[in-house]
Amino acid sequence: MNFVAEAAREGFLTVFSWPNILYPVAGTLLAMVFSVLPGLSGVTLMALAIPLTFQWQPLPVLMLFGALVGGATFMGSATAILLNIPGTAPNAATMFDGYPMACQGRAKTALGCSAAASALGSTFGVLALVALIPLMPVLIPLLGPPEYLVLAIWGLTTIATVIGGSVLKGLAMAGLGLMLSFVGFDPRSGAVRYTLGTLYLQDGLSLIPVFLGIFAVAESIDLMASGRATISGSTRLDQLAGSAREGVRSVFRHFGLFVRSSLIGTVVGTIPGLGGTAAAFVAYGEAARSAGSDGHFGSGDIRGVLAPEAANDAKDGGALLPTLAFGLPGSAGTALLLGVLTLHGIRPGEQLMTTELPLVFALIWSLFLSNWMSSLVGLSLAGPLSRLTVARTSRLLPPILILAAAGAFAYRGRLADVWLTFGFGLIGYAMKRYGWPRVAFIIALVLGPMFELNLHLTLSLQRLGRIQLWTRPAFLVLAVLLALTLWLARSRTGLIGRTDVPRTRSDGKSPPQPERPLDGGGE
Amino acid sequence: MKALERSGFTLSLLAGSTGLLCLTLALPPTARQVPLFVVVPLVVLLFLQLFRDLRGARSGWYDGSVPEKTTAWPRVSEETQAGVGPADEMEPKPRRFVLPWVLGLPALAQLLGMVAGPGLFVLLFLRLRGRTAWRVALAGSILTTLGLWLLLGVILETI
Repeated sequence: MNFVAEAAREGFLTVFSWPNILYPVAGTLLAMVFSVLPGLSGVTLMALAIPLTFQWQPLPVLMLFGALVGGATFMGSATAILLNIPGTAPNAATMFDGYPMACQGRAKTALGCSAAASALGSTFGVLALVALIPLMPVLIPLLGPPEYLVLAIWGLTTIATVIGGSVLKGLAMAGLGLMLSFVGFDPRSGAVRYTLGTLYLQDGLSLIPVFLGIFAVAESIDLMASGRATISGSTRLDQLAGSAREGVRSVFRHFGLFVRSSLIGTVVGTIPGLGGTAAAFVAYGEAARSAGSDGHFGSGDIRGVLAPEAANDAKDGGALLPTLAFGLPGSAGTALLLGVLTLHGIRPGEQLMTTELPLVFALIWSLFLSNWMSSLVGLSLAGPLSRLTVARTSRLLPPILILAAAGAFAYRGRLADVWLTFGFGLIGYAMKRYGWPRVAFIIALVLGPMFELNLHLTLSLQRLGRIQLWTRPAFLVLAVLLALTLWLARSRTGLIGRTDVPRTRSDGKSPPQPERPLDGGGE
Repeated sequence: MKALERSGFTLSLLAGSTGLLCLTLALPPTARQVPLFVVVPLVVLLFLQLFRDLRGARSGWYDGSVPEKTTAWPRVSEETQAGVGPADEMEPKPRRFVLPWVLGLPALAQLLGMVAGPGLFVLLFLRLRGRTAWRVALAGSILTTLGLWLLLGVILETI
């Protein structure tokens, strides 16, 4: 344990010395600017930076890339809250409650909460990473397809808590999301499914254009059709309620939820291939489930911002674990990082985790610094950023639509992605207008591939006699936890199978209720 | 009218899902196992929903005084009525006038490319829909074009 502490101290002194600190600072600022554009994130910036940094020494490269991984998350959530545009895919979960808060004039509170949850979540992830480094060789082999399957089911069951008004519509939307997640190659047989004979769909539906369409474009259409003057409905800045400080305080008020969400983020982050999107969605669902009837998730509950933000930033620490210890990347960012390590002759594994541990800690401190720095910059910008919610929609709509189109195009350089975005925009608008819960659709779309792949793997492995589910401790623990949370949710609120969700505004008044039941209030 | 629109959307979802069911049945047995498990209940659920929609339409559920659900609570009209501020409201137009704007952007991008197309879109939108002054609209358009050229052409080299 002493060598870990010594390496941590050495890494700290390296990162926080002049001129080394310039690398993480520059990386953070670059990532923050870049992540405003949806579809582009720290990952894109990392890809662009690889050829530029090829001649550099490993240490500055690791410090820069650590900052690029950590710096992109806050601005991504800022656009999700203010404009309903997720800067990065994991920020999509923040939109569900962040944007309604902005619509209610509480953008500053949401931004403050997001910044604090991000900074503290990343700290949690980094601490977990440091604590788990010595335990890595024991922990990672415990997780396999059955455990991932339970996590996927856990995520999918969250749909029950967010479908709101009509269970029928919620389940149908989840089914549709699952079906669209099956587009592309079948993981078992390799057969091509639902591609309509086009090459474009063989890799499956890209999440970024779908997210942009279902939320950003759909909201833009709604703004145009409704003729609202501003997002918040108010034209004066002094009428915006809440403050960034209130948002920061909310993290401490719901500290238990923060710890749970960060834990989910760290655990999901360690699972190779899952990434922050799954972490944010699972944490959001868990927050909605644990809130029970007290929550008004989907219509501006601060906990709906706190949970995905904490999980999304905590996952960075978790994702570094398998990457550095076994060369198994936990997310797209860490996959690129792995490539960079290999390019610079650094091989993940025992050597990196022992003799080269100070290098690892330089990366960790850089990640830590960038998360805090982006959150502090974000907090100081909360006021100016919230002005966007009182800007005229006639001036705001063109940039939103252009951002959506450019983000979809920049993702893969295909105009078909732009058409897909606007096509899903129309579908998303119709879903919103006729009360079909978009959240259920998105959760199923995100978790569908993980569910199907691990179901096949688990069944095949069991058929071959390679695994016995009841002898796997991690599987048993996760299965018991899943059953417990479902039982708690049901017994506490009768959440599953309910036909209506009481919704309350922040001021305690009830929002306008239809005289007759209006289906699909799960937005 | 709203009830008909609502049923129409459900019907289109049902048609799409039935199409997916047909495609699923044509897949090899190993590839259709999980999708079939999802798509059959999906079609049944959508049938049930369509039935509910049509029944609701007949009994006049949806064409009554049910308010439109929206994420914004203090509606602009309420603010304006309360004399809160000069709500520079975009004139509410029928939804059919929204569709050309939504499809206009990808269409212009397809015709003129991802740099010039969006630039022209911004000019047209600000001038025709936002009724902004020519100078502002032109400046917005030039900024958009330059920004997209810088991002997509120079930095990302995707065009």
